[in-house]
Amino acid sequence: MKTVMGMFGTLMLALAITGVAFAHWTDTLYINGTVNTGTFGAELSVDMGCDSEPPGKDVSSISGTLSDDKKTIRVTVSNAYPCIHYYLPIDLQCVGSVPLIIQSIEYYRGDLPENTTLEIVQDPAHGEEPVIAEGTQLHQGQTAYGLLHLHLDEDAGQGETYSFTVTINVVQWNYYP
Amino acid sequence: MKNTRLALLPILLVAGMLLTGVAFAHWSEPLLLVGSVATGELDWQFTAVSHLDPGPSASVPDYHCRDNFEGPSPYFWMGDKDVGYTTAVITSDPHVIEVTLNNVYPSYFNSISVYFINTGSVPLIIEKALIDGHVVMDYDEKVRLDLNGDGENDLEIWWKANIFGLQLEPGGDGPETSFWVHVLQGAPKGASLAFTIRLIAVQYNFSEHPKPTIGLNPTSLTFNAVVGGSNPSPQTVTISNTGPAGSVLSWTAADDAAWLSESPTSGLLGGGASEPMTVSVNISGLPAGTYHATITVSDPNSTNSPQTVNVTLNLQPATYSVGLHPNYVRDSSDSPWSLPPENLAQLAVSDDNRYRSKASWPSGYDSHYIDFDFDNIPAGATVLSAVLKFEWQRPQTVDNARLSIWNGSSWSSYYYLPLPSPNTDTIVTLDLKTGYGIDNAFEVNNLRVRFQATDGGGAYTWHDWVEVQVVYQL
Repeated sequence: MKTVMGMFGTLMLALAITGVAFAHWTDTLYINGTVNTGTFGAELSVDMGCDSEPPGKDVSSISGTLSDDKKTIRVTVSNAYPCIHYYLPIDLQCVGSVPLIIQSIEYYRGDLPENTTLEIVQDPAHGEEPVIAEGTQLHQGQTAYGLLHLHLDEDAGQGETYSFTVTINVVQWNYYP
Repeated sequence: MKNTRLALLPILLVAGMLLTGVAFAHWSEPLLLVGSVATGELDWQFTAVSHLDPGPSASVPDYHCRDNFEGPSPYFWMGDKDVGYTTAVITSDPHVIEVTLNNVYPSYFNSISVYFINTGSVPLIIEKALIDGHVVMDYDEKVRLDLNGDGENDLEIWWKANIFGLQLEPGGDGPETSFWVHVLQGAPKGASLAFTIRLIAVQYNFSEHPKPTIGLNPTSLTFNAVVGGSNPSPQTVTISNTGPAGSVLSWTAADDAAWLSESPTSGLLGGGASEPMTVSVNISGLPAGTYHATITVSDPNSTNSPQTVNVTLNLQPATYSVGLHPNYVRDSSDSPWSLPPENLAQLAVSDDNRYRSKASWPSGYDSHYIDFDFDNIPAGATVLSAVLKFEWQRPQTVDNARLSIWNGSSWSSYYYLPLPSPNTDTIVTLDLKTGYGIDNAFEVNNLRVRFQATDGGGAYTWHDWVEVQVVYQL
């Protein structure tokens, strides 16, 4: 019996020794990952407006007020009348770390008279800079410039108040077709 | 159990989509321009109407004129009858004036003036007038009205106002606008003659009238004056409307200096017309110097507004030339002794009425002298020149004489007088400014001239005229 027990003990010892020796011939490797996503954002700003009233005339005006979150500009055109061109400089800055693209500019003309011109055009003061236009891509800190242009024709009524909205949709650069 | 798992699947799917959606929304955003456009208003209205022949409560004799308003002057006159009269009122529509001639007759005349204001928020231009539907667009235009449609003209109207093409700013009053009315032979009997006047105004940049152009001549003026003197004569600037016929220049003038003024300061000019504007300068209270100002003539409707006239005012300091006479003389040749007024008077004029030195002069220069002090000039004056005139006479025995000059702080070196012939007046001239540095008011006002002489025989000197001639500016 002692012999059997001794053999078993020897066997276990041999197996244990063998097992240790076997473990030395295998290994486990780990990859621990961290993903930091970028930020996406755009902000508007607005400058002082101007119009085409001739020297000596200054009865109408255009101005813009930027919201606190810099996502909305409230545009006010006062005492407007036909044939005068109103311009409001606006710019759009990429404030995220991921490039953005202006996906679309949508003009909701509201109740503006039919012959009214409402558009965003290139700002001559920033001729070499990116323009607020569909497809313009901006990198972090880069700015696109534009002029909101409004012109009333003779179909505009006197003493009226018209409303409109322009939506500039910006998306992450690789979401643009 | 299986059913429960199946029920959870859509919930998990929706939750997953929501999460995905939120994540997607973070990678795009809309930016908004929200606008409102408030348009202005173009409007005007009559504010008043007046004429020569009001109704019975304030009746005046009727006026008359010749057919077609023919001359010579006077073109109309008051008669001795008072039977007709005119009512002219602004109707409930303030854009219309209704004129009614009551109990009138051929040759009846009236001059009617209307006044209007821009009540809108946009500059406007008076484009034309409608007299009972007849369009009038020019100054001096005449129209004839057949009010009852019988084929004969009843009234003739002569537009006398130069307002077409005139621009009015919001709130601005138009000028007095007059027209003449004359009843013709074709007027019906027993009928009141009524017609309306209406003005047509358009937004300023829609006007069909040609624009005026400001002409100024000259474009610079120079005024010269002297401090304390009279104002320089006024000068004239001719203001012209060099624009085409049919344009109206409604000019106003303003300046940027209190010493400058213009008259008139506004006017109306048709194309090619001109009128003078008098420019005046008031120098009172101004110190010497060169002043610049600008007169600005403007009409916001003109092609070249504003235009300017540059004005320069050269205000020279006043220059005075005075002869300062001795006002205090001390003759110490005997003992300190101040000359009384009668002796001072002797020194004031070169008339051979001479002052004789108090005592004879010693044989050598000692402490004896005659000191001459003089009247003052204003403190702060700028001395342009100071010249001493010293007229004296010596006897034979006076063999030496000299002058020295005190400038208020020190004595000059001696100037030895050339010896004149005995008993003959001689005038010595000394340039005190260049020779003795007397070049400011303090030195002139503290000037003292000391005379000394020597005499081997113990004689006197005679002094006729002593004067310091000073030219100075204030």
